[in-house]
Amino acid sequence: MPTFLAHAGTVVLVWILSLSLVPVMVWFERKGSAYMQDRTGPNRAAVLGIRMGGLIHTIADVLKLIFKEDVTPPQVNRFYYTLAPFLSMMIALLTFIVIPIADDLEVGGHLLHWQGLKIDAGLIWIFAVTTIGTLAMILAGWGSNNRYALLGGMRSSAQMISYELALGLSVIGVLLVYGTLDLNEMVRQQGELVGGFLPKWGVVVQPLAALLFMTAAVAETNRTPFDLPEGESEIIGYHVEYSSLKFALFFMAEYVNVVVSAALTVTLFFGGWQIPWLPTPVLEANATSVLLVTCAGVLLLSLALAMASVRWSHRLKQLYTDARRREGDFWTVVLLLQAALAVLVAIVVLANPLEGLSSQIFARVAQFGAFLGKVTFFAFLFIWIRWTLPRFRYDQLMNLGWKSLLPLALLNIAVTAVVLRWLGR
Amino acid sequence: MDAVLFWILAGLSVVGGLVVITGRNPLASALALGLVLIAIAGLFAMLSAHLLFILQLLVYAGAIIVLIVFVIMLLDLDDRRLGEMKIRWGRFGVSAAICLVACVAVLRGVRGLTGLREPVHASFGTVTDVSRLLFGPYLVQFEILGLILLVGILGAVVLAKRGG
Repeated sequence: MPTFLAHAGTVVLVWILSLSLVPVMVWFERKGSAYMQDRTGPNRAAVLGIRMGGLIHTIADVLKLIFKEDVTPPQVNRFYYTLAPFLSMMIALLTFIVIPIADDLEVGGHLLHWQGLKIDAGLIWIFAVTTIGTLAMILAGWGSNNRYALLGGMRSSAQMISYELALGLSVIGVLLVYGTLDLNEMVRQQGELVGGFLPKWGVVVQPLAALLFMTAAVAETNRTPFDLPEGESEIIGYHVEYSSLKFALFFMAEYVNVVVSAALTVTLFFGGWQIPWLPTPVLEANATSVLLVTCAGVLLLSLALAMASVRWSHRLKQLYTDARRREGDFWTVVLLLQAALAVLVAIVVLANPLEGLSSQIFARVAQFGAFLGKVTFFAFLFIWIRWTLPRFRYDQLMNLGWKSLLPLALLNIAVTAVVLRWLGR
Repeated sequence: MDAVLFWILAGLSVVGGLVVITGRNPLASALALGLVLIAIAGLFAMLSAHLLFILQLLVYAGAIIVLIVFVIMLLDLDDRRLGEMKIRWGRFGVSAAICLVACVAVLRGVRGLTGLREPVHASFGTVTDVSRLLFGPYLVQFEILGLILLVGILGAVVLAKRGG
């Protein structure tokens, strides 16, 4: 029973993580795209004058989506029409649970896995679940009983099926190198070093596979340059008949999928929860010094930011006469509190150095932090790609998938197999 | 816990199976088939056949159902073309009875086999274990299956080219 509770807890933790990254993604999308296009982006929504650089606007977005009228067009097939957005969200959440977020931890004879579904075929699970995800799009297109939606559904499922092949084949080279399908085991192997100084990350040993995988992953999440399934403004997508929260569910599923793709890219090619040059035993042995260095870093960063925030606050007070005057002061206080917290933690740790269980727990938390940081970066990368590249035409999309990615993935498998044989494994 | 899960999964697969054969709408039948396949995948997982569980989801619940749904949607069946659906209860009952007898016979036969009651070893159903079997004792059969699939794909391509 304790192991069951631990597993259930991890599943819930992972879901909270993936769902709470969604507003951050929306913020990245709106503010990031604004800066890339030399605009200001959302800067009005505020709580007590605090705008958090537009992050508060996400709350306004969500409220708008909830309170919009939920129109169900009369011609739809009600059951399939309603099922599709829920299915799409469910699939997106199910994928995440096999991804390990920290190394295993042994407490009182129980081995805790920081992975919702501990399964030795974790990678196949992801492919299995995403295949079912195609069904949600087809159902949305067909259930809407609208020709544009049906064509959109067809287009998107054709794209998903085509790029799933490239995605699956690009991973096989990685499997050959690591010799396992277990995602946690793969991450553990990425803690080793290549040639004495480079971490043995997937991108180092399988650069072509990493490129192919990330390309196919962008296509799988239906984002530009592969956003033909949606093409909101010109070629109409499968969710044309959806409104309000059902529409929001599709988009939430898309953002969760982006987070999942980023997490999978990180797990397979960028060391997962590994902190480079600090494998778990080393991290546990040096927990105290790592924590002290972190505290020092946080302290310096917060103080520097607090100084910037004081100057900014001065400018705000000249500009505004309303509640917005207060935002600079708010940030100064938050940053100073953060600095004080860092000092407090450092004092406590200096008095009682971390050892035994506490150092192990610290190591897991640090690994989770590293994982979260990497995932956030790659999620941002996907948004960066979206606002940098134009959309493909449908024939270009199919040509790229079948005539470039697929042969390259096959070539990668052959070369990897030959090289591994030559190295004598 | 196990018994509850078993009855839920078994019930889902039976209900799904009934919907598959009695449903008038082909898409409803296809989705019910998906439900049956997922429930059976769950039963595989309860028998600690992990790899089989995932492959069932990937190949049957994923690929095959998507293919079937695709075909049904492309055919664009409307109510007029589907016509009246009559269930011939006599035939239905007779075939159900025959199936029941056959199932009971098979089950009795299986129960008679020795060596079924021993608990499976720890690595049973894992990727390593299944792969050892596939690439060990059953290598020839496995490769022949691969060849048959390849021939099937080539056949499909030839037929598609001729049609176009």
